[in-house]
Amino acid sequence: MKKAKLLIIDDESELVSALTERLTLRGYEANGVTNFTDGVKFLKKLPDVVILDIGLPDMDGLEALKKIKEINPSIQVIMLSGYGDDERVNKSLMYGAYDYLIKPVEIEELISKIESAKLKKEEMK
Amino acid sequence: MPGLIKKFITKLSEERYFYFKFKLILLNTFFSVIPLIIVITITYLWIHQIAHDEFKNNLKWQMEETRHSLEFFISERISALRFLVSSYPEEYFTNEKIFSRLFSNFKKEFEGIVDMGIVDERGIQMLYTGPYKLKGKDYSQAEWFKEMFLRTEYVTDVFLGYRKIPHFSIIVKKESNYHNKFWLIRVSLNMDILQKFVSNLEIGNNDDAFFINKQRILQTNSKLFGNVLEPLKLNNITIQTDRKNITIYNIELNKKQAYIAYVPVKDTPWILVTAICSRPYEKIPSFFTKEVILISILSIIITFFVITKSITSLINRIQKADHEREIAIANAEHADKLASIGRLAAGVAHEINNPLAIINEKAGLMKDLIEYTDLSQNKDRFLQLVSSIQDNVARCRSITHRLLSFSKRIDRGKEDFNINEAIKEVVGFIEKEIRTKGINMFYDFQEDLPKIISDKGQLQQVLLNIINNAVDAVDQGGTIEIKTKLSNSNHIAISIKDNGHGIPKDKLKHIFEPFYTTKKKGTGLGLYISYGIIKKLGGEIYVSSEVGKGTIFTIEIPINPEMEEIK
Repeated sequence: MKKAKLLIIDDESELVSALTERLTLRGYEANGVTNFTDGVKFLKKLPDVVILDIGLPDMDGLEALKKIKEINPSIQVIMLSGYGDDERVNKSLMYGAYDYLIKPVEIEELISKIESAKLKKEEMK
Repeated sequence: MPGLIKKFITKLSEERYFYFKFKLILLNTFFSVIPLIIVITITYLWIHQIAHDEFKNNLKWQMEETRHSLEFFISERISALRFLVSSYPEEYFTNEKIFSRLFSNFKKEFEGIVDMGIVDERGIQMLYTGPYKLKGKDYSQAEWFKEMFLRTEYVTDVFLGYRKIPHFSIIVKKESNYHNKFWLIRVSLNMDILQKFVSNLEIGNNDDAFFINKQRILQTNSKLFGNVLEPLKLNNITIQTDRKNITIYNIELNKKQAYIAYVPVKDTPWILVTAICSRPYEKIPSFFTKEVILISILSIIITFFVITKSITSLINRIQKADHEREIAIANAEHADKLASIGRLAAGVAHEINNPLAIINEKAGLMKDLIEYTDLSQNKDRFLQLVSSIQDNVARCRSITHRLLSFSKRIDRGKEDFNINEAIKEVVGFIEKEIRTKGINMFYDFQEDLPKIISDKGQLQQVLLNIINNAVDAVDQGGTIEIKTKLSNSNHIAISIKDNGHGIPKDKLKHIFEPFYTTKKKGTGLGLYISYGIIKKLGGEIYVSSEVGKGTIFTIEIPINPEMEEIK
C-alpha cells in the first residue's frame, strides 16, 4: 500500500525539520511548515494526514483545523500540542480532528495514528 | 461604593459589631422613648395648667371670703350703731354715765371696739368713753367730719389721729329734729382687727396680704411693701378701685414671677391685696412625680431590654452570616488559588512540552540516522543535533528555574525590586499564550523609575491576573500596552491597556465584587483578590472601559509604604 502524504504545521521549526526528516526516512512523503499561510499551498496537493499544532503565529490551531476541514473534509488532522487540557481536546475532536496527541510523542505511536488516519481517509473516499 | 460594601462585609471586626450594636440599641431606644416623652410632657403641662387654675381659684375664693367677712364685720357694726341712734332715747347720748354703760355693753357684743364718742355738728367731741382722754377734742378739720355733711355713715381710712396709734373709725350720723342740726356717733377700731382678717388667708411664708386705701396708702403692715400708713412700694401695677371682682396680675417681682391679686371691699375705703411669690401652683401632684416617673422608667427599661434583646439576636445573625460568608470566600479563594496553580501548571507543562518534543525528535532522528544511514557520513549532523538537544535542555532549565524563583518568592514578603523587570517576568510566564494568540505587546516603561519596596510575589500575582484578563479580552492579533510612570513622589502608576471588547458600564461597577464573573470558567475571585492585595500593599486600583474600544486597568502602588504611613 502507498505510504501516506503528510503535512506538518508547527511553529517550532526545529521540531518540524526533525519530524519531517524522521518521517521521510520511514518512507512517507512529508512536508513541514511553520505557519498556516505556508501550509495552505501544500493543502492544495491534498495531503492524507495533517499534523497540526494548537498554537500558530498567524492563526489559532482550532481555526486552522476548521479551515482544513472546509478545504477538504477527508483530510485527517492529528492535533499535536503541548497543551493537554480537556477544553482544547474536546473542541478539536468536535471540529473533526482525528486525534489529539500531547507532546512529546513517541514516533511509533505517531506512525500508528498516521496509519489508522490514512485508513479512515481511504474509507471516506 | 462596591469597595465600601466589601470592606464592610469582610472587615467587620468584633469591635465594629459591638459599636454597630451599641449604636442601633441607643438609636432605637431613643426613638421609641420619644412618644413617651411627648406624652409625659403634654401631661405635665396639662397638670401644671390644672394646678395653676386650681391655685388661682383657691386664691380668689379665699380673698372673696376675707372680703365678705370684712364687709359683714363692718356692716354689722354700722347696723348696730344705726339701731343705737335710732332706737335709744336722747339721754343715752347726752348723759355721760348712761353713755359709758351703753359703750361697755356695746363693746361686749361687738369685738374690736376701742372707744366711742359723740361729736356735734361743730366737730367737737361732746361725749367720749374709752382708754384715751379725747373729750372735747375738735374734729372740725378732720376729713371724715367734712365727709359727714354729705353722708349718713362713714368708714374712715386708717389714721393716727390724736392717740398716735393706727386706727380707723366708723361714724353714723343722727339727724336732729331741728333744721340743719345733727350729731355723730363714732366708734374707733384698732388697725389690728384688719390685720386679723388678713392673717386668716392661707398663704405661704413668702407671700403677702394687706389692705391699702384708694390712695395706695398701706392700711395694715406688709411684709414686702412697707408698714402701715406708708405708701405702697409697688408701682408697676395700676389698681382700679371701682372693680367689683378679683383682679389678678402676673408680674415680675424681685426678678421672679409673682401674682398680685386685689379686690376692693365694698362700703369701705379698703382694697385687699395679696402678693403670691412662693408659686405653690408649681408643685406638681405627687402621683405625677412619683408614679409617672416610675412607670416611665419601667417602660424605658422594658423598651431597652426588648430592643437590646432583638438587636443582639439580629447582630448575632449578621455576624454568623458574615462569618459563613467569610468561610465561603476563603474556600473560594483557596479554590481560585488551586485554579491558578492549575493554569500555571498547564502553562508550564506546555512550555516544557515543546522543547521536550524537540529533544524527543532530535534524539529520535539520531537513532533513525544510526538505523537508516551510514554513520560515518553524519558526524557533523550528530554534533548539530546534540547541540540542538542541549539548547532545548537549556530552554527547559530556564523555565523550571523561573518557576523555582517564583515559588520561592511567594512567602518572601517585602523586598526592593524594579517594577519594569517584574512586569517583564510576569509577561514571560504567559509569553506562549500571547504568541499563540498573536497579541502585539507594547511597553512604554519609564526607564529611571526608583526601586519599589513591596511584596513582589503578590504584586506579580495581581499583574498576572490583570494581564491574563487582557489576553482573554482581546481577539486574535489584538494589542496590549503596558505603561509605567512615576505618578507622584511616592507612587508608581502601572497601566495595562487592551483593545478588547471592553466592559459595559453596568458590569463595570461589579467587577471587584467577589464571585462576579463574565467568563464561563472563572471563579469571580481574581479581581476581588487583586483588589484586596493592592489595598493591602497601600495602593489603589482603577478601571475604565469602553465597550468595543478596550479597557485600562491602572494600579498605583507606593514606592515606599512606610513613607505612606508617616504621611
